Amino acid sequence: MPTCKECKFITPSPTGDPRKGVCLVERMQLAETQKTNVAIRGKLVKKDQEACEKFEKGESWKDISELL
Amino acid sequence: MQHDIGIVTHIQKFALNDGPGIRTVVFLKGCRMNCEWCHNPEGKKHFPEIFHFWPNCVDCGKCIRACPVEGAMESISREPLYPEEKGFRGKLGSKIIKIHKDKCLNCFQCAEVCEYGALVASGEIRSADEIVDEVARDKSFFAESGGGMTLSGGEPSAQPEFALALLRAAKERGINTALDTCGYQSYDKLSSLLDYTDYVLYDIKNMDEEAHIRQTGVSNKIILENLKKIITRDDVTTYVRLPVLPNVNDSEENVRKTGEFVQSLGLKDVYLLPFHPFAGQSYRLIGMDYPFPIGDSYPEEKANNIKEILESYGLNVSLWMAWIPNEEAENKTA
Amino acid sequence: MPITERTARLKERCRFKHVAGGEYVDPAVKAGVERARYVTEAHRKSIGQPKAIVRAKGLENILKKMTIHIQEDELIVGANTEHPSYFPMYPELSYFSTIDMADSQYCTEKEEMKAIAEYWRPYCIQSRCEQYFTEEELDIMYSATTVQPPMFVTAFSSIVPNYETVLEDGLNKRIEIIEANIEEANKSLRSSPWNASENLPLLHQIDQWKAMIIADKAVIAWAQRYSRLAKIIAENFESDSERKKELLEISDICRRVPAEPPTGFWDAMQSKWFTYLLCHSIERYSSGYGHKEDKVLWPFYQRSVIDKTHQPMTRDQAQEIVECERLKVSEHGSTKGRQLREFFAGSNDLFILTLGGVNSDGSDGCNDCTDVILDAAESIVTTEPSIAFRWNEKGRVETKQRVFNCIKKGFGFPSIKNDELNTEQLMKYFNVPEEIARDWALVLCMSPGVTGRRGTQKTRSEGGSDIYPAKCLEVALNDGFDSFFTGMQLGPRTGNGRDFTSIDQVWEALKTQLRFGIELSLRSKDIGRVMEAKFLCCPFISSIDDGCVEKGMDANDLAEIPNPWHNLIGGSVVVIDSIAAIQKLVFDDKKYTMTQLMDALDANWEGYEEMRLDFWNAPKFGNDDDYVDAVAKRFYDLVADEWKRNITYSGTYPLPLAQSVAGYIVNGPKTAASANGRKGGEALDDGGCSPYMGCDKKGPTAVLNSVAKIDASRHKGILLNQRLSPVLMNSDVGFDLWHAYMKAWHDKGLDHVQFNVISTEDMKSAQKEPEKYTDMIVRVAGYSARFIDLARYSQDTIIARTQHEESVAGA
Repeated sequence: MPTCKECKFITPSPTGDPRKGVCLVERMQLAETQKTNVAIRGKLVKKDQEACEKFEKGESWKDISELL
Repeated sequence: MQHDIGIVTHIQKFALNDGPGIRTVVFLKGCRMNCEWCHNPEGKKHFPEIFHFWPNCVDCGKCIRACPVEGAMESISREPLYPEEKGFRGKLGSKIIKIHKDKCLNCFQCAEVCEYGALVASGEIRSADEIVDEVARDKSFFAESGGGMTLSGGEPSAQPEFALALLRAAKERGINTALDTCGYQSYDKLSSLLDYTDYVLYDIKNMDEEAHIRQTGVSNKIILENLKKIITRDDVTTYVRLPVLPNVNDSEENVRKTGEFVQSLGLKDVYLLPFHPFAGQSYRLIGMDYPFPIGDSYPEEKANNIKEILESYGLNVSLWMAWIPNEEAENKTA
Repeated sequence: MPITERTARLKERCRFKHVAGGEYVDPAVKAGVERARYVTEAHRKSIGQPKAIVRAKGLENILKKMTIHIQEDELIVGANTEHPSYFPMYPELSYFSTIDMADSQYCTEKEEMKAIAEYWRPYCIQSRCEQYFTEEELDIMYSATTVQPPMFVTAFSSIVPNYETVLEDGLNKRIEIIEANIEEANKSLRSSPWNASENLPLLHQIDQWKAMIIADKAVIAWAQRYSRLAKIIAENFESDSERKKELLEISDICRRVPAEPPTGFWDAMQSKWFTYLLCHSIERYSSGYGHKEDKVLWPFYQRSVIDKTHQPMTRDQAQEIVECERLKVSEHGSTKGRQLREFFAGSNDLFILTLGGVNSDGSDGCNDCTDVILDAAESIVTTEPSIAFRWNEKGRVETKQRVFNCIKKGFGFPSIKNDELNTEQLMKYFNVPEEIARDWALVLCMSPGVTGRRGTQKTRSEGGSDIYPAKCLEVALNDGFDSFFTGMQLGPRTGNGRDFTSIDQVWEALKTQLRFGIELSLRSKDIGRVMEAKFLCCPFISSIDDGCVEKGMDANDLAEIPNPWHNLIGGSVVVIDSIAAIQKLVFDDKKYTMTQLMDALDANWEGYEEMRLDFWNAPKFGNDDDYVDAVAKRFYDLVADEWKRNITYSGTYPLPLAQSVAGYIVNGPKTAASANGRKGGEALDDGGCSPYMGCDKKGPTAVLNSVAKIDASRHKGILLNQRLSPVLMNSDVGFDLWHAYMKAWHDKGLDHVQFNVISTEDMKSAQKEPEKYTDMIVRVAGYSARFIDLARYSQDTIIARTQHEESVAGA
């Protein structure tokens, strides 16, 4: 099974601790009252843990426009 | 004391094209004319009204339940999208609320329960002191820019006592004042306002009386006569403003007549306000019809043409918001 | 348009180092291994020697062996790495940063770098500091949720180098002064009778002085290498006779500076650039471009451009040199870990130079050199370095007109700081004499610090590092626990919001969480400072500070003029709007209970949309509304009071500094739903006191009136973003109106303001066709970035800032 480290939704070392990363896969469209469009729900993960069902192979920095 | 109370639609801060400098514009509700192009439809009637900002409506039904009159509101099928609706990210349901104006009591209970900003009361009764308190919060901006308070509308002189109270209260606090008027009012009443006014922004809509009646519902006689009298007062500075509307008042003949008239009065500065399409949006967003095409601004070339014609009468003509800074403001920023 | 064909060519081939989404945009950017290699090599050889000497030998080895290069067309030469596309690495600081970098796509010498990282593991500052913290404390700090990870793991620092001593004395004279001190000390050691308490401290001082001399000599030798290289190219490879002449002149300049004081403007710029490289990037890494550039360069500008007595040149030639400087900065590779690269979305590093204000005698500080620097910024169009303008009542209008011109073009800089307010603050809180205080420059984006020959800030352990207030409020309502992002206990147990029966309990819980955060952060900074002073001595940086030379102390160690501050990053206004909404809807109107609110927040407002709208429509900061503005005042006062309880390394308490960098973007996804009607994962407020996006409905004057209710004098700075309409700014009266607005801003005693002047339509077009908008610059936070380098989420937050238009009604 792949780990979070290999997933494109993980930013590699957002915290200074390279063993951890932030998963940015979960996002939602915001209500019409809000001025921005999207909320991204971050999740702190250990990079060597087993990836979830939303796993997509890739490196966040290559497709960063989808991230922050 | 009751004259210190009046009805306003809203207060606009940081207004830059209703007189020199940074200004706060107080929009008084109610007008005695009925111009077909009016940019402030919410300013026309003399009483508070309910407006349905329908792109925000999610058909939650709360307003219908709150309405005390049977049959004044109902849920109907949504109209096809207007172009301007695309800018809104509403959850557009298939249904929408309709208000039957003939039955509506204007009690505003629907607006009170609407969480989505779809039903909005326009027009609030407020005291002059309270309003000028709010205006005075921007005093330092007025002082630095040569700005102040502008009364607009609607037509401010349609609530003459209230307008007077506002102007007087502003002057008492050392705030520069401007009156944006169509001039359709008895000279005595206008003149009493001018005692507390620094700048008059005076609209000339059409030189032809018949056309004026057709387009605004009233004759221009009193308007032109009033202007002649106003300019005899040396305690106010008068700026003439010409709304320029396609096929309404933009014929060369009318422009030349206007130029001649302004020149004959010895006035120097004229401000052109070419038609812009924003008003059409507000009309449709509040469910009213608007007789001008959607989305087209007045052609720049034609506006420049008109500018040139007027300049041939020795006038300084300014387009849009390029407000010519007065010397006072210039000295302050130097 | 660049002022000459040369700078147009230089810009065309500039190897920009800005990042997008936390990664460098230019695929050629790589981690250079030479600095790390040579500092390690020297460390192995000298490890038994005094620490300052070990560090000096490290610097000496780097400067002696690192590959140097001069590029075509360059007038200013010198770089921090072996290749213009590279950035250096600093294994002596943070193990995590080094190993992360070694593991990244940027590092091609992976095996060597990993071995270097492992070599340094026991010696690096991170390992030396971590032992003073519990696992839980480290986890909290490293999660970057309520507080920024400490300097000893991010490796991030900041400094204001003493350019003045290099330019006034030259390094040869510095060496003479230091040698005299050693001689004096040796005499004292041999004086009769023996006095231990006087003499024993001299041993440490002698070590420091000797290290300084090694460093200064190494720097002079390094500049000589550039001199020789320029000559070699000129004599052997260059066929163009004009360029040949230039290269020989460059050779002559590098032969003389920084060993000797500069003669004219070109010399001065070169000497300043060498000094910059050493202090910010070679001896150790430090962010910033802190100097009062117009003041530092003015004497040389006068000689070259006005009097034409030394290195005579035209004004345009001076502008060309400043353009070259801006391109050198743009090409300069800074090394930051992932977290900080994301934090500076769209930029390379925080390069902010300072202009304007007053001279030390109180006269207007704007001069023609100020104007040339602004003209160059306007002509070359680069995001970096950013400029801060000190707005003083005395500042001349022609300079302010240039400030306006840059802003009008949409650069987002100069950002504007209140000159008098910031000078007074240095005097009042840090006891700086007025004539010294008047020479302040921004250390980083927002924080003033003194400049000059001594006492300038040398490390971020003095001032800097962050607390994230929105997250503090979130855990304050949840018994200190974070179930949204980390699943960790992030702070003290302050109870469950459901049990709160008054708004004061909310305030109390927030205060407790902020207190925990600031105390943990200050401890990490000060412990880091002690370790920096012991193990990360900076003999070159010390050698150019008169105080360090006089006292024989390392620059990290000496705190001659304290400058402590601690940031509140993105989220202050979310806290204010949230507390105001809770106060109004729960405790005043009693429309909802705390239990209902907590349920709605836990559900991320799902199924509570009408309730969310109620909270969203509650009074919002930025509308000149006394109800919520009173909450704002209380919040900023509370923070100032809390910070004030502490005494830091330099003997006094820190001031708060509310700003955002790109923290409002990065921390949005880490922060759960909030009571201002914001959903979990939505961006935070984008300044230090900027209204939440879309919540300022009454225009820019109301925003200033709201901000004016905060007592800015108790803060190191408070960042305010404003968006003004390009139509307004470009109209005939644009300058007059803006100038009037700025004077009102100044009269109200506000600290800061910066502007975005790009229309919503243009930004939306740039999202669709980025290739057509490569030069579009926007203000992100304390710095500017190219719009197209920002990710969608960040772009949207900038579009979402309320654009203040001229009124269209009332015609």
